[in-house]
Amino acid sequence: MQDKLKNEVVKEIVITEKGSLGLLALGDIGLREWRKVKQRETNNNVNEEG
Amino acid sequence: MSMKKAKVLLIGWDAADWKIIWPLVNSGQMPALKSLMSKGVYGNMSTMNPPYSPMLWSSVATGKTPDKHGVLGFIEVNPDGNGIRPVTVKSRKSRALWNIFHNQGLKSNLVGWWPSFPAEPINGVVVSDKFQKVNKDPKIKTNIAKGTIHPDHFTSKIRDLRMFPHEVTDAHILPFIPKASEINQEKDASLATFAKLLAENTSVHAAATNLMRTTDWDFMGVYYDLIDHFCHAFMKFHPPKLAAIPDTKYQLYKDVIAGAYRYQDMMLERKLELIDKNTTVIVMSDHGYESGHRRILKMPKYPAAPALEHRNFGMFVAAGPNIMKAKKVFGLGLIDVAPTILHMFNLPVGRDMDGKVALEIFKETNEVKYIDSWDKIKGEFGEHMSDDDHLLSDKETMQQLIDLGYIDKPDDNVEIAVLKTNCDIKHNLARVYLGKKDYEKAKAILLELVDKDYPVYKESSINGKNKKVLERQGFKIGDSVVDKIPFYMDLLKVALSEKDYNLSEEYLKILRTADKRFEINTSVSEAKILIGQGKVNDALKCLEQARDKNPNSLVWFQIGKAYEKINDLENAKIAFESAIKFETDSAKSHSALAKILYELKDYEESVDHALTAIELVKYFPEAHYTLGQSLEQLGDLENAKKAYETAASLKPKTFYRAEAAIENIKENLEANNCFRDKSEYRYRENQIVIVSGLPRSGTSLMMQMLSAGGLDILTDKNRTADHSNPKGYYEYNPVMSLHKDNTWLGKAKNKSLKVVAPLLKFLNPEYRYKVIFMNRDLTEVIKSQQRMIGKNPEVLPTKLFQAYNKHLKQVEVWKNKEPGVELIYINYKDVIDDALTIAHKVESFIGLELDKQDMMACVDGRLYRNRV
Repeated sequence: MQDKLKNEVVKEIVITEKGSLGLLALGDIGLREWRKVKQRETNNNVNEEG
Repeated sequence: MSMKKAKVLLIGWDAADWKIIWPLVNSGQMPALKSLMSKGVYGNMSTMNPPYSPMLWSSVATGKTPDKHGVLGFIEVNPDGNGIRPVTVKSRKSRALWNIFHNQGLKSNLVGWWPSFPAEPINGVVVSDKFQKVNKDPKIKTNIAKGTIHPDHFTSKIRDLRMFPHEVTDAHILPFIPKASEINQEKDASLATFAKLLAENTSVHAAATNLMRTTDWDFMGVYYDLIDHFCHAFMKFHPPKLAAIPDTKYQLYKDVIAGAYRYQDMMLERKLELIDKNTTVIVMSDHGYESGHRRILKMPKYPAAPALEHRNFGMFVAAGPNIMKAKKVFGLGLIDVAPTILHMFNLPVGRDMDGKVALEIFKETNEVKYIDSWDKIKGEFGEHMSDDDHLLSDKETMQQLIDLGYIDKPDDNVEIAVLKTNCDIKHNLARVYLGKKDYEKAKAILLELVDKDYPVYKESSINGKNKKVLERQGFKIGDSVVDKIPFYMDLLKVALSEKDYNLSEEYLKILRTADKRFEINTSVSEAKILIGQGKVNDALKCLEQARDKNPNSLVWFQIGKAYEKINDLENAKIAFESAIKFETDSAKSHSALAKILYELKDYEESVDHALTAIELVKYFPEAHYTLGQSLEQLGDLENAKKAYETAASLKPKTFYRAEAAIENIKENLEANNCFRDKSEYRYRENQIVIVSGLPRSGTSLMMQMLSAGGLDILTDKNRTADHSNPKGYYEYNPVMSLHKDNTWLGKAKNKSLKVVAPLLKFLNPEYRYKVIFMNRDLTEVIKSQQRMIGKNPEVLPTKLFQAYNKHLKQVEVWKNKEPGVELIYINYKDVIDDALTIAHKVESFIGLELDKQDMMACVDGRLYRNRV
């Protein structure tokens, strides 16, 4: 599952469930967006299993 | 520059070191720092002793040494004396920058500062150093304790910005440890350490970026321990490979340190995206970290031993609207940071601060304003008012300090733990005084520490919960719970500094008979004592044995001192050079070498080494003094005077030698206005007659006179006559590159040649020279030059004036130094006013008969146009 984050500085970053150092270096926005992707992935897995 | 709109972002990178940074910057791996450096200033940051981070970062925040600000270690005793805890902001007795800004109506944000817990109630947001500390076990919830964040309500906004070690994935690990999958995690805890450190620093960064984006602020301080803590865990694996490190481990972890710097740079890049153009950014460290052959694999077990690997110099980079561009700055100290930042906000500096404003970093400088002390001002400073301390004990943080090796595991017995902590704090204070050369205060504390009777370990302690730790530390039943060896080591230092060699000998004996587990290297101290007692040969024997066993900078330095004592300058020089090879940035070795080179009359090299010492440590009176001595010998009297004055101003007591040197040099400066001729007034076989002087001082006229008088001239006539020199220049083109090639000078034998003053020193010593040096009032010279190049002759460039003055003084020194050179000074004005007398003087100097009437006929008073 991938998502795209547009930060305030016109960068586009591909977000995977595993995240990346680049995402962490983005600070609060990067951390939050990565967790959203992780959460969505977890939910998807639960739905699939269910 | 706009002082009113000033914003400052201060970023702390604990333990960042230029030795690691330079290769990364040069290979494009730290682009954010590189961009800051190209826009601003960069240089070394001197640390202080003892180099313990909470003490140092409190000095950064207050501009004061730890004896004044009160933060004296990693841990502190609870106010009720019933336990110990990681050091808190409550230990700080002096106001920090953010307290002052609060009082002045400015807004500050602070993230992760060590120490900053409990968060002070300032105007702005404080995310204290407790925020990022979470339990490594994902099953145990770590609450954000009261006092972690100010204001309280901000906690809900950033609660989710803590990263947990269990969230670290291979995408985070592999850039640091590409072969991480090969690690056996049951046997090797390195990955767990890595995850914890990465998570903590990411939390700090997430909180910082959030505050940067969502709040208004004037000042913001962010502190990262990433590099320091990674160094403690992984520096031993950093290239070049140490022999004792197994290759498998080396291959696994060799990239971690570089990775930490790269990640720190990525985080910097993000912060630079979040600031505006009015923000001045400072990135700095509190000390460096050994990365070469001085890395220590087996730490001696005395308190805070890991700090042994802290190097004396950290890094400093600053860029902003009023900061100089791409300039290297010298001699900065941690205590200079707070005064410099106050000045950026146009606020006064406390006279009780130990640091000074680093004015050299600014493009435009305002006058520094002062007040006696910010600590004595009444009013609101955003400080803690209550003594409510119940929330401050912190097991997690204590455990981390133990894991890092900064502190020993506290005794289960609370009383012993408190006693040991109190002793450590006192000892650290003594070391601060030692660093400030206040030996009386240091001695008083150390003597109190050694004179005390301490309880001894009983069987129940040795075989209790802490059994393994105490065994590792070498404690046995009956041993004193407080080890006195570190106190005696410092007492020995004090006695040596005070030149009390009998007492030094006593302390040395005590240390040598004490427990051997410390393996203290005492040969350097023994040698110092022997030198002090006049037994230099014995000292040399002792040092040479130590050198053969374990050559290092300290031993080589002391060997140099011993040779210096017996006036064996050549061997002293070799020893100091060897000391520098082992430790290139040892200011004291450079200063010692400069002194020896001065004695050996190698003044230029001496200046180089004295300047290197001063670049490393600005507050170094002896180095300034040697610089003055060597500059004086090189004829640069103005700068020599400045160096002597700096030496005198830096010495706490009167520096009598510097004072006397200043007096002498002032007399010399005055006397230097009368230039002295040096001549035997007789013909020398194959002599070369040189006409010299500053441009536009009458050199062409003298050449013309010599030609008219009958002397052959070496000229290529390439430069033709013009309005400035209607009778020609008499120049010879190869002279222009005399500094590159002087092999052709033989062509000038028995002839006359024009050479401008700065090139005289490149004359080939193979020949004998008769130099006719044309002197003219400097103001006239510069006016004439200004007119010649079409500039306003009434505007006199001061720097040019000073530079010419310097050249003239150097000619005087050069003439005296060169045995093959004779020189007379001829005043241009005298040539115009009384050409006959001058013609006689020149004839007598050259030792050949000249046609004086024809010489006189060359003089045309109408060409004397720029008379003053």
